[in-house]
Order: sequence, then structure tokens, then C-alpha cells
Amino acid sequence: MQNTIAAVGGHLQSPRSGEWLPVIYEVSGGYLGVRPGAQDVVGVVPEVIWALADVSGVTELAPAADGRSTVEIRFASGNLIRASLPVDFRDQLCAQLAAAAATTQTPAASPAFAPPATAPVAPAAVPVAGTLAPADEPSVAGEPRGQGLRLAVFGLAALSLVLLAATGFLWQRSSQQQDRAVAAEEALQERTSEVASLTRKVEQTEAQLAEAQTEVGDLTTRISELSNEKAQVQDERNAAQEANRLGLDAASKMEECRNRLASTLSYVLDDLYIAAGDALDEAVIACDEADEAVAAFVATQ
Amino acid sequence: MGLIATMRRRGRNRSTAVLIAIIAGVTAVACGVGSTEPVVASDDSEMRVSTTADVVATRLSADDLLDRARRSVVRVRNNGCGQLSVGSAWLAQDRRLVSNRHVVEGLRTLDVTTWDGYDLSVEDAQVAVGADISRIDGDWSAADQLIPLNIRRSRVEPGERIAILGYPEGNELSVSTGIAVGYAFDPELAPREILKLTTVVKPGNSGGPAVDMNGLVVGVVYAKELDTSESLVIPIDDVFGEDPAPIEPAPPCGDTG
Repeated sequence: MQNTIAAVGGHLQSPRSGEWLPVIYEVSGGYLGVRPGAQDVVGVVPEVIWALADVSGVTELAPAADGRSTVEIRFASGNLIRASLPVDFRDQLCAQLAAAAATTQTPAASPAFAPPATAPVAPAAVPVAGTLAPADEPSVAGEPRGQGLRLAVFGLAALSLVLLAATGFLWQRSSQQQDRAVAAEEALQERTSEVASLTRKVEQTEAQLAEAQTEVGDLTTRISELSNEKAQVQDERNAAQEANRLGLDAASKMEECRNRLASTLSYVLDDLYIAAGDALDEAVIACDEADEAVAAFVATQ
Repeated sequence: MGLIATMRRRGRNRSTAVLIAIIAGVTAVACGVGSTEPVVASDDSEMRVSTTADVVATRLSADDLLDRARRSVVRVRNNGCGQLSVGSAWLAQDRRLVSNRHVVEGLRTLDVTTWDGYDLSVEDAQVAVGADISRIDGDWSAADQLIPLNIRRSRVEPGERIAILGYPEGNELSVSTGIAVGYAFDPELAPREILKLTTVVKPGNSGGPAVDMNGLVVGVVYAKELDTSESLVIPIDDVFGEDPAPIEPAPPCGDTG
């Protein structure tokens, strides 16, 4: 049974805004995972995993179009999500869910094979030499009792051999088990030592990371402070530049006002009263502008 | 259906037939074979969907909100005629900054900077007619970490926690949180509604975004009510909704409309 469904791009509907957000869907090891599918939804869509065993239903909300299906996935907890998925992924997910359900529904299968025997197998009985009567010996009246005795001796000898063989076999197995136990002990000690070493490395790295994070935090604070200082200084500079500009403008307009007044006076002295009247009108305008410019400049002081 | 057909081809004995029946029933439930009707909205289903929001969209901590602000909220300096003013702005999905009209009107030049001191190039500024909203166009490539904020479509509920991101008094970028009081009318902006918050704001916060605890923008800060100190926010629908206010070029220095 396939346990993994390759990651695919899709969308997940935000229940708050109704917006369809780009995400990545993936199935692995009996879990359905969702993670952000674009940089701009990082922080909006967290990485979440659900056990397939917790999925209580998948309902198609809209007919598949362009190879994509809009589904509602419900969970035993009562939660649900609305997802837009490739049709292939949806079908594979449903297959996974059905397989997971089959695993819980199927009764325990009877074992295919009997448990392997652990007791040593007795070696085949070995014929015991020397218990056969010679073929040419005449039979005697006590022969039946002698035959029973021979059988008993034969049986005892066979049993002895069996016991001897079994003892030898057990001795060998015990020795092998001993060797394996020693090897396992050594391997365990090695692993324990390795784990301890790696644990120390992890702790060292965590300490370095914490230190670096503190440094980053301090640097971030410093960057913010410096940026603010720069902004304040730029504010002051720009304000000073504007005040300077207004000052120059006021000075220029005052110069114009003075020139116009001088021109008007000149016409009066020359008895050119009509020209003087025109010049006075222009002087009034220029001087009004100068007054406004001076007021604007003074307001910045 | 394909799964059932495949299973049926596997075997013909009785136990297998029983197994198939059980699996078919489970499959029908698991994969919507029984019903393709959409879920009828009810209070219970709405509640379940609301709960899903906690799974799909994580509530942000204060540090998360500050991080979000650093990536999306900028400082605006308006070099006007004989005056200089400072406000806030934020990047929207259309890659244009959003701020207030009163932050940019009367400008000679605009300076936009990020929280870490990068100066951004401004190309154009426009203002909304009848609403205290402005849009700023520019070249944001100098700050490649600048990313747009997402907006929220649903209304804010009274009692909901709302944060304001910005540069109060032109100082460092900060996050201020408070509670939504509710919607009301500002006579100067009627008939459009405004949103009132208990969140503390100061001059310099103007134009900054008001966001919910999922980091979604609910509005743009524009003023503070002096009697109650409640902050006043233009709902985001007035900027990006179905009936946004029309926009025109920002009036320059000497022409504040």
C-alpha cells in the first residue's frame, strides 16, 4: 500500500476572510499535511498535520474543472477545511482513507505459519553398535528374556547418545548466545556513547543558537534605534532646508518690493505721476507677496 | 467506485465479500459517495468553520505583529510648504502604499523609509475624494523584504482585539493593541461608517493599518477622538470594497483643496 502522496499545490479557503490561499498538500505516513504555498501567506497559513484516522469525511463541493476539485474535508473533532486540490491527489487521498479504514475494520488474520520452533530438534536416532546377537548363535531356552535386555540396553544407549548430542547442541547454542550477548552489549555501549556525544553537541549548538538569537535581537533593536535617529535627523535637516528656502524666498520678494517702491519714488520725483501710479500698484502687489513670504519664514522659526 | 471495483476483482470467497461490504460502507462515508450536496449553513456549522480558523490561521503574538509590521509598514515624511509632517503607510496587494489623504496633501516631496532605514523612491501620490485615503506609487526594490498585507472581508465584532501598526510621533515602528468598540459615523465622513477602537494612537500613526490578531487589515487609522481618546479607523472596504471612493492626484504644496 502506498503511504506517501507527493506534495501538490492547491488552495485552502480562509474561513475568516473567505479568501483562497495558496498552500501545499502532502500525505505521508498516515498524515495529511498543509503548509504555506507562497511567501505572502507565510504567517497566515501555518504548517498543520492531521492524522488520516481523524478524517471523518470528504465531500465534493463543486464538480471538478481543469483537473481540480473543490472539496470539504471533515474531521472527527468537528473541524473542517475547504480545499481546492488536483483530482489525482483527491483520488489518492480517498484511497488512503479507505485503506486506513480497511486496516481498522479487517479482523486479525490468522498466522500464515506456525511460530518457529525454539527447542532444539533431536537428532535422528543413531543405531547402537554391538547389540545384535551373532547370526550363528543357537537359540536357547532363555532367549526371550535376553532379547528384552538387549532392547533395554539398546534403548538406554540410544537415549544416552541423544542426551549427549542434545547437551552438545545446547552447549554450542549457549556459547553462541553468549557471544551474541557480548557483541550486543558492546554495540549498545557504543550507541549509548554516541547518543551521549550527540546530545552534548545538540546542547552546545542550542547554546550557540540562543547566543546568536540574543545578538540578533540586540542588533535588531540597534538597527531600529539607528534608523529612527536617521529619520529624526533627516526631519530636522529637511525642516531647516525648507526654512532656508523660505528665508531666501522672503529675501528675494523683499528685494523686489524695495525695487518697486524705489521705482515709484523715482517716477514721483520726475513728476511722472501716471507712471508713478502704475508703479505703485505693482509695488503694492510685490510688497504684499514679500509680507506673506516673510510671515511664512517667521512661522518656521 | 473504482476502489470498490478493484476490491471486487480481488477475490470471490465469502470472507472477502464481507470485507468488501464493510470497506464499501466506509468508503462511501469517507469520500462523499453518499452525498454531493453542499453543507447547509447553520449555527453549528458556522461555529465549526469558526473553529477551523484557529487551525488554518494562527493567532499572532506581539512579536509576530511587530515582525509583520516591519515587513509591511513604512514611514512617510511630507516635505510641504513651510511645514513637515510624518505619518505611516502600508503595502497593499496591488503593490501600492495605503495612507491618509491628510498625510500626503500639500506635498512638495514625499520621503518613504522602512523601519530599518531604507529610503524608497516615490513616483506618484493620489488621494481619495471624500475619504481620508491616499495611494502612493513607487519603486520598492530597495527593500526587497517588503511584502503586502492581506485584508479582511468580514466586519469587526465589538470586543475583538485589534492592533495598530505605525510610527507614533515619527519615532520607531511600534505595535499598539486595543479593543474594537464598534462602528459609528463621523459627520465629516458620513454616510460612510468608521470603526472605533480603544487602541492608543498618536500623531504619526495616521495612515497605518489596523489589523486583527491574524494579521489581516481591517482598516486605516486616520484620527483620534479627543473626548474619549478612542482611535478612529476607516474600514478597509472603503479602500478595497465594492464601492471605494474615487481617487485624484494629491494636491501639491499651496493647493490643499
